[in-house]
Amino acid sequence: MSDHSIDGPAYGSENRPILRIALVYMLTGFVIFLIMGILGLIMRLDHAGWWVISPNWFYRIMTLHGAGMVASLLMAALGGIIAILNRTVKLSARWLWSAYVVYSLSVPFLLYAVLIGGFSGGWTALDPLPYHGMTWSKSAGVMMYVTFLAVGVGFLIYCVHVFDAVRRKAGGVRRALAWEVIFSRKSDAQPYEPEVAELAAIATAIIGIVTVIGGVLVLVPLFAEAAGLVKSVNPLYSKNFIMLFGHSIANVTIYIAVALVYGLLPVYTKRGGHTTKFVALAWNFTIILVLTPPPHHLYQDFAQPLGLAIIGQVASWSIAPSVLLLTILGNLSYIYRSGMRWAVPSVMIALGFWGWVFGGIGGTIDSAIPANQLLHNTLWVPAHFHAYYLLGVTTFVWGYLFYLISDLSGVREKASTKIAAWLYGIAGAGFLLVFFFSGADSIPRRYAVHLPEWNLYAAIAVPFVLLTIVSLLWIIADMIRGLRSAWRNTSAVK
Amino acid sequence: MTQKDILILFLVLSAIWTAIWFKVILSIPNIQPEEEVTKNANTLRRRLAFPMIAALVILLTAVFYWSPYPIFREHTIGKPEVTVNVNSFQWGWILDADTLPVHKVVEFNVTSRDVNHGFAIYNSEGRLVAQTQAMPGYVNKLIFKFDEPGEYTIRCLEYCGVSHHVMLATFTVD
Ligand code: HEM
Ligand SMILES: [Cu+2]
Repeated sequence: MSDHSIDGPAYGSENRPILRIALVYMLTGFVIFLIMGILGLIMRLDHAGWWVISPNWFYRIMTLHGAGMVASLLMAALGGIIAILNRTVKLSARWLWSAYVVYSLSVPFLLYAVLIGGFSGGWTALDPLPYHGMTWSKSAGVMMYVTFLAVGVGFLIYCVHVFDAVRRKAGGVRRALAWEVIFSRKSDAQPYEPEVAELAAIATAIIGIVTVIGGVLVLVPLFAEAAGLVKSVNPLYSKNFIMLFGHSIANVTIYIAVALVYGLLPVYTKRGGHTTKFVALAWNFTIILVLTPPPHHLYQDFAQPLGLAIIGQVASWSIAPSVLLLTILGNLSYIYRSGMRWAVPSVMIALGFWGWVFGGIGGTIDSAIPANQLLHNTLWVPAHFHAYYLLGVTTFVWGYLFYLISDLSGVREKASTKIAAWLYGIAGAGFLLVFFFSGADSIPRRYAVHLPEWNLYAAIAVPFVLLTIVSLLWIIADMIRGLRSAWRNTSAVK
Repeated sequence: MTQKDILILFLVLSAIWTAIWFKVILSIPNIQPEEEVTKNANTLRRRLAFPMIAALVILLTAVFYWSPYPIFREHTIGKPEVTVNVNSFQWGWILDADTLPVHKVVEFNVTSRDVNHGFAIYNSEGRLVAQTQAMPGYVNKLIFKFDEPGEYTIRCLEYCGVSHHVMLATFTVD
C-alpha cells in the first residue's frame, strides 16, 4: 500500500502551485454550481405556479442552468483529480492554466448567447433548432456552439496533458491502464501497478479525447452551415454526435468524481487504495461504458438504423453489472465493517453511492426501449440524471473540496456540520423522488408552463430544494473558515 | 405495461438497494479485518455475476420484441389498417385525419417541416401512451392500436423553442 494515499497530499513546494490550480478549478465550479442551483429553484417555483415567469425567460434559465451545471461540475471534478494526481505525477501548471482559461471562455460566450442573444434552445442545442429558433438570431445559436467549443477545447487540453503525464510516468499506455495487473498470472514478474487515481485519470482522459472529437465532428459542419458553406447538416447525423458529446461529457463527470472517492475513502476507512484486478477492470470497462450508450437518446427516432438502437440498449444494460459488481461492491466492501470515521467527506461519499445507484436504477429502466417509449422526455429523464449529479457527483466532489480545504488549512470541521451533510442527502432524495413521480405521471420535461394538475408535484419539491440550499449554506459556513489559510498554503513562495 | 408498473418496479428496486445500503452503513462500527471482507466480497461477486448477466440477456430479447419499432409492432400489434400522415412545424401539428377508429391498427407517418419535434399521444386521462420523434427529412412510422374511444391529445415532447409547451392538437377515437 502506498502511504501517500492515506496521509493526504504531500506538500512539497513544487506541488503547491498545482494545488492552487486544483483549488481554483474546484472553487470556480462550486460558485457556478450555487448560482445554477438558484436557477433550478426558480424553475421549480414556476412549475408549482408560485412564481410564474415568461416562457422566454423560463427557457433561457433552463439553458443556463443545464449548460452551467454540466460545465461547472466537470471543471470541479477535474480540479479534484488534479489535486490527487499531483501527489504522484508531475503535472504542468502551464498546461492546466491554459485549459482553465480556454474552458472559462465558455462563460462569457454562454452569457452572451443567452442574455444578449436571447438563445434559449436548451443546453443540448439540438440542431437544427439553434439556427431556427424563431425568437433568437442565428448568431446567438452560433454563440452557443462557440460555448461548446470553448468547453471542448479546454477539456481537451486538460485531457491531452493528463494522458501524456500519466503515460510517461507509467512508461506506456498499457501499463498506465493497468493491463499488467489485469493480465498478470501468478508466475509473472511483479506487474506494474499504477495508483488508482492515475488509472482513473488516464481512462477518463481517453474518454474526454474521444468525446471532444465527437463534438468536433458535429461542430465543424454546423459552423460551415453558419458560414453558408453547406445548406444544412443531416439532422440524424447531428443528433447522434450531439448526444455522443453531451452524454459523454456529462457521464464522464461521475466517473471522475468517483476517482476522487478512491483517493479519499482510505483516509476514513484505512482500507483500499490498491489497484486490484477488479479496480483495473472497472476503469478499463468505463472507457467503453461511457462511449457506447449514447444511441439510447435516439430510441424514439425510428429512422435510426436498428443496429444503433441495439448497441445503445446492450451498452446501457452492460453498465449495471459492471458498475454494481466492480465499482459499487468494491467500494461498499471498503466501507463494510470498516470502522469508518464519520466526517463531512465520508458522509458525502456514503450518500453519493446511494444516489448513484438510485439514479442508475432509474436510468437502467429508462434505457429499456419499451419503457423509454413511455418515459422519453418526461420528467423521468431529469430525475435520473439529477440523481446521478446531485446525489452522486456533487456529494463526491464537494466532499473532496471540503476535505482538501480542511487538509490544506489544518482547520478541523465542526462536529455538527455532519448533520448538514446528512440533511443534504435527505433533501436531495426528496427532491429527486418527486421528479421520478412526476415523470411516471407523464409530465413532459422542458415545459415552461405546467398544467394545474401538475403543480402539486413541484410544490412538494420546493421545500426539499430549499432544504438542499440551507444544508449547503451550513456546509459552506464551516468550509469557509479554512479557505483563506488553504489558499495561502498553496502559494508558490512561502 | 404502463407507467404505473414501471414506477412500482423502480420503487421496489430502490427499496432493496436502500436496505442493502443501510446494512452496510449500520455495519460500520462492528469491525472486521479487511482481508475477510474482501474475500467475502469476491465470493459474492463471483456468485452474482452469472445470474445477473443471464437475466439481462434474457430480458434483452423481450425488450426488442416489445419495442415500438414497426418491424416488431407488425407482429405484436398487427399490420396497419389505417394510415395517418402527421406533419409538424413551429408550433403546431397537421394531421390528415381528426377521427380515428377504435380497435384498428393505425400507422402514423410522422415528420417535421423545420426542427425536431416529439409526437406524443396522451389519452383522455392525461397518460402518455405512445410517441415517436418528428425529424425533418425523415418519416418515423408509429404503429398503435387504440383500445379505448375518447379524446386524445398530441403534445410535443422534443424541445423546439419558446412555444414548445403549447404545441398541441387533439383527435377523437371512436
Ligand atoms: C437543487 C438543485 C437543482 C434543482 C432544483 C434543479 C432543477 C431543475 C429543473 C426544474 C429543471 C428543468 C426540468 C424540466 O422541466 O425539464 C432542470 C433541468 C436540468 N438540470 Fe437541474 N436542478 C438542480 C441541480 C442540477 C445539477 C446538480 C445538475 C448537474 C449537471 C443539473 C443539470 C440539469 C440539466 C442538464 C438540466 C436540463 C436542462 C435542459 O433540459 O436543457 N441540475 N433542473
Ligand atoms: Cu416541441
